[in-house]
Amino acid sequence: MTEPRTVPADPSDRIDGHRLDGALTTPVPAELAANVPSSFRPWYSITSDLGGNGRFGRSWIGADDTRVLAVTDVGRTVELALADLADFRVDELFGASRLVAVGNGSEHVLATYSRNLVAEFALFARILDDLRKREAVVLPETLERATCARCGAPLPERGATCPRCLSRSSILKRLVALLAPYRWQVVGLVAFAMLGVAASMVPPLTYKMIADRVLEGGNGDELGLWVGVMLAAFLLGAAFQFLTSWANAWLGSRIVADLRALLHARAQRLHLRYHNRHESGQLIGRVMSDTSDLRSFLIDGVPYFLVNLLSFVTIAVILLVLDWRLALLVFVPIPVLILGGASFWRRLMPMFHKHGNRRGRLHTILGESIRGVQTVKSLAQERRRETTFEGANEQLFDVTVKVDRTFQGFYGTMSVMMAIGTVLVWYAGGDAILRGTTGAGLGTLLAFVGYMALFYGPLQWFSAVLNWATNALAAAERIFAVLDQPEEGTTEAAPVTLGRVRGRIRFERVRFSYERGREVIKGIDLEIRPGEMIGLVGKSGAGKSTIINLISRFYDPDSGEITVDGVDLRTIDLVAWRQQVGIVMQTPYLFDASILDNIRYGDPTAPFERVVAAARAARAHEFISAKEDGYDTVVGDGGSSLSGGERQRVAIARAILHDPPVLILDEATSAVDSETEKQIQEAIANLVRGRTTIAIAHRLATLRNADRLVVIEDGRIVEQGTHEELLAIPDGVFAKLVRLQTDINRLRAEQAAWHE
Amino acid sequence: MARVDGLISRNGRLFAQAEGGEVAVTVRYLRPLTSRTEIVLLDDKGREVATVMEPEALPPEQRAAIDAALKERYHLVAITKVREVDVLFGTRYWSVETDRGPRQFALREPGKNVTWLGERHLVLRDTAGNRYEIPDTDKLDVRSRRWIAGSL
Repeated sequence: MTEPRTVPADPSDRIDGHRLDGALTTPVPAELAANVPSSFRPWYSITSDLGGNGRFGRSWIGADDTRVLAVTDVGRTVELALADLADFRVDELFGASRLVAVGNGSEHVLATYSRNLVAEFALFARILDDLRKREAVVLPETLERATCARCGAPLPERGATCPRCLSRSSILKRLVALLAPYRWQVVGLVAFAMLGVAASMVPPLTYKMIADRVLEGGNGDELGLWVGVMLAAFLLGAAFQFLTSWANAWLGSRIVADLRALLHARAQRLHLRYHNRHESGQLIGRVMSDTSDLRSFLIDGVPYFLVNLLSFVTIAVILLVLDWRLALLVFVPIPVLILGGASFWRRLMPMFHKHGNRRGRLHTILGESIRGVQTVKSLAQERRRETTFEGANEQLFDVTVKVDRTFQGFYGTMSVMMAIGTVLVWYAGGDAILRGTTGAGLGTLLAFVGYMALFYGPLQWFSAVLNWATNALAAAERIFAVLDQPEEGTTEAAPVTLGRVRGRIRFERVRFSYERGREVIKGIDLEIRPGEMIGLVGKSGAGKSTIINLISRFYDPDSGEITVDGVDLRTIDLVAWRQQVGIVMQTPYLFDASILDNIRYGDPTAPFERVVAAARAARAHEFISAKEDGYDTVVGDGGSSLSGGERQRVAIARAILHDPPVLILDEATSAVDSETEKQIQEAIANLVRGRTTIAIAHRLATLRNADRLVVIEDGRIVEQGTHEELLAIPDGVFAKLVRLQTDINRLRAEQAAWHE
Repeated sequence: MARVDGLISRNGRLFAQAEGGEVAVTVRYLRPLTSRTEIVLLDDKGREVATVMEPEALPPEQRAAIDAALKERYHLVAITKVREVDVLFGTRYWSVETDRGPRQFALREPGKNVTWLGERHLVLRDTAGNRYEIPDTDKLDVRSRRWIAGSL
């Protein structure tokens, strides 16, 4: 975050915009230049990807400290004095957005743009408003763009690295770099592979020797020798092949295990912003399936490629040395085998995609049928579900048959091509021997046939391995993309480590947005005294939870500052700060472990007496003791074997044991019955004593103990004071909320009375 | 639901006249993907001002005002030709001609970002969140159809 600078200053200020890849200082596109006076020197400017008539094209907006100028490719020009304007607004349309300047009683569309540019235009709207109000323009550190700043191509996701500007060789280099710690194992692996190839070259030579020297040359006593050599070569070949796989199983698995550990560690330290933007399944997929794709390629693909390439070249050389004319005949089917293999894979890949998609679809339908079985039955739609399933099932059947038949056809064609090679060699070789036109004898011919089997086999799979490599590289790229995400943490070089804080928290002009362009916190100033309990009140979506997220430092403000005991939160060591903040969430997460381990999750060495004391204060001791396994009760995945109220109290005990000076309660008492709520209330009363507490509660009554209530509406503080003070404001937001809730409660009570 | 007596367009905004008053409205299709017919008028707080099931029955000047507002709001892009679909690291890069000019976009996870509204009618969502409609695959040329069949 840059320091706020005041406008107007030197116009060279706009140089600042270059930091964001120049997205906010774009030059006027050539086709629009005629409509912009050459004297106009904008401080900030932006180019849209839609033209004035809604077609893909370009519009441009520029602004200096007094006016804003918008031009489009249909010649429409809007020029407005900033002083005449009241606001800048972004309208979300269907499939596009537009930036509107609001004057007194009139509105002017400055530009329409596609979703690609929402982040850029949201920021630009804010800049325009700052210029209009003659306030400091604050630019964020980065802008998550949808298109590559270098080549302009669309990105796989907002803020991602551009795969087109990323070279495959650089990914390979990174993969190789992962091997560095195991270089001796790699050397061993390559040596085994080479020795294996060398051994496999020997048997066909022994055919030649046996034919030429033993059978034709009459050296009957050498038979045992050559058969022995053949046997030794077979055994050695098998041994080295085993050693290669043996070493590779270890090495491939080792690298993947290292990658998984790296990914997991990075996922733990990734910014929550990343986790919010990506489904958890996607990340789990990266850790498990992408790494295993990579593993199978490293273990099976790489050695296959290496060994076969090596034997291919060696055999080619041997054949040429033995008899170059026959060798050329052997080479005849090669181009067909390679090109045929490549075209086969080109045809097969889309079929594979289709197969995967159709299988996924069938999976979804099956899942819906089973999970939604009650709804299907109650609406009597079994027949329709069956039809849907049958349709998808048949589609999968069709594509499966096609894939299998294509495979078989390929095998057949390839065997014919190889057979042609063999036939050619036998014919030409036999003919040559009969006519004596070549020095080659029967032995050479036998050796040739022996080598050909080794030679042709792998050829057809080269293109398959290349495909495999592409997919493995894609997996590697996805893994590296996660590893390259910035970790959360301080921006300062040396983070400040605080002792136990007193708990004075201050918000100064804090603004924040989860998604660039949609501000959730729109300028908040708030001071919380040490030991004070603050209740945050407001409708859902007002920004209460966001304030809590900012205090916990799951996110940093876009602008403004949050300080703790006078120190900027961003400069404080993150781990040290989190240890001082206790959070009790609406749906607390418990780990699949015993209640004991869950309570002392923040301090695994805490003595059992302290755990019991914390549980007692949390009103959890009794229900825990009553369980068959007591504190050893395993809570199940996410705490599933406990009731909501029990989970909540275990979480409160965890927070009490953690003993943080700052406490956050996020809707801690929602979704429980009133008896449980009373117990949780008591537990909370024990918990908040002596701590700076920030609480959100859906039921306003639960905030009665708060020292001060802060009413949030649309990202701003609209009222604050004690319960009574706020109720006294006629037409106040809080008073209205209380009235509404009283009505609802009365309604609920009436309903309950009815049911009784 | 109040009856709407008139609709006028002023200063770039649409106003509905009802019960002697005037309220600024935005106009939306009820089924923007499957049937662009029925519309609803919403005020600035998102409250319903009127739902019109048969907008073609409105007086011509009101229809004109509504059509203009709809044209402004709905940036629907229809693909008219698929030039190329390039797959790179699991992302499909589409290069297409649309009724609004040429465009390039990236598509990921087709299972989630391709919606089939009928046998031959589909909507694609690119990685930035833009949407592209193919109203009828049979009306595209052979090469385009081959690209679609090969990559979806």
